[in-house]
Amino acid sequence: MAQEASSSTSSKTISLKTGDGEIFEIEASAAKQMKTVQRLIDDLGDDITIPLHNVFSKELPKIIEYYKKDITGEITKDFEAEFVKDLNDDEVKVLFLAANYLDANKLFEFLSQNIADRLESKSVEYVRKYFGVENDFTPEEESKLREERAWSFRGIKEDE
Amino acid sequence: MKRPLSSAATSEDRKMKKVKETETDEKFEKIDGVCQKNRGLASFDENMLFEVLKHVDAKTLAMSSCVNKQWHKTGQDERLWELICTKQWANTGCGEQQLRSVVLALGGFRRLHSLYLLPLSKPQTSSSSCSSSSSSSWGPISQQVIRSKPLPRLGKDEVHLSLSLLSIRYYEKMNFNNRNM
Repeated sequence: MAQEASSSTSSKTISLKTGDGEIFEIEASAAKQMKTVQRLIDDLGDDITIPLHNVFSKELPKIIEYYKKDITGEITKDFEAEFVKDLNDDEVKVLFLAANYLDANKLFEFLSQNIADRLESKSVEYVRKYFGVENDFTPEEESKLREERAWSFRGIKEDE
Repeated sequence: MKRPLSSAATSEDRKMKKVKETETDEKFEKIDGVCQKNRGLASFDENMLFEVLKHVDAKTLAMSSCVNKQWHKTGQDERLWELICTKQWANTGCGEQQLRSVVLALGGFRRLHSLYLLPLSKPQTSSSSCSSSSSSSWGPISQQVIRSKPLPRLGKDEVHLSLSLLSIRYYEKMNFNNRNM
């Protein structure tokens, strides 16, 4: 759990409270990596439980796991591959949105690459559903655009 | 990875978006048909979309222009196509900024890619001068190449060729306009 660092900088743990009321602990140095959290600490002090309305108990532990590894400087490609291995597309999306909210840059970058990889060879319909966007093209507009980009539609996987 | 945008600019953008998001805390979004009530997270905004699209491959970027109008606008962004083009290139021997201003003046990276770089990435599917292998053996291999992720690195010659062709196209169009005047 919380390891006492021998350096003079904070070896404290910060309490974070998720939107669904659960409390998690992270080290202050890990909290520093999440700029939103750090801002809240600066405003509220580090003795108070920091409320994170938009992050929930499903995803926060995973985020904490990532930054726990990060502060020891051990994030490798293997670790990152393992980190996302068992996550489905929606779970990654939730983590990505949370990383954005928390202003956790490193995780955000990593997940944007991962989402980009997952989108490879997916259909337009899948992408719309995944991102929750509406199609606002007329059928004519859409078919014209598709025609112009016919080369990009080869090898598209069937939607599950 | 080379990025035309300064990372300072993007994190500043994100900060601005963050202020907006905290103000819309109570907003809920329907994600995948499941009502995420009180989740309060805004769905992907334009900035997040841009960040993801920075990492996609050419096919996905082109396809993304068909998703909706906002995506179309983002999918046409020259900075994203510059990333796509330069990912494939070996050292071009000139500065990034210089290359950028030249390519943008001649029609942009998106055109450069679709007109001249794309044909270079495709395998030879038609029976060319190479008479060794039978045409049927190219079938499954060409399928594989299109789907595989690691792109063939384009050497200096191929880059210069594609840039030359882009210039020629630009000047052809220019001359045509002058003739009509």
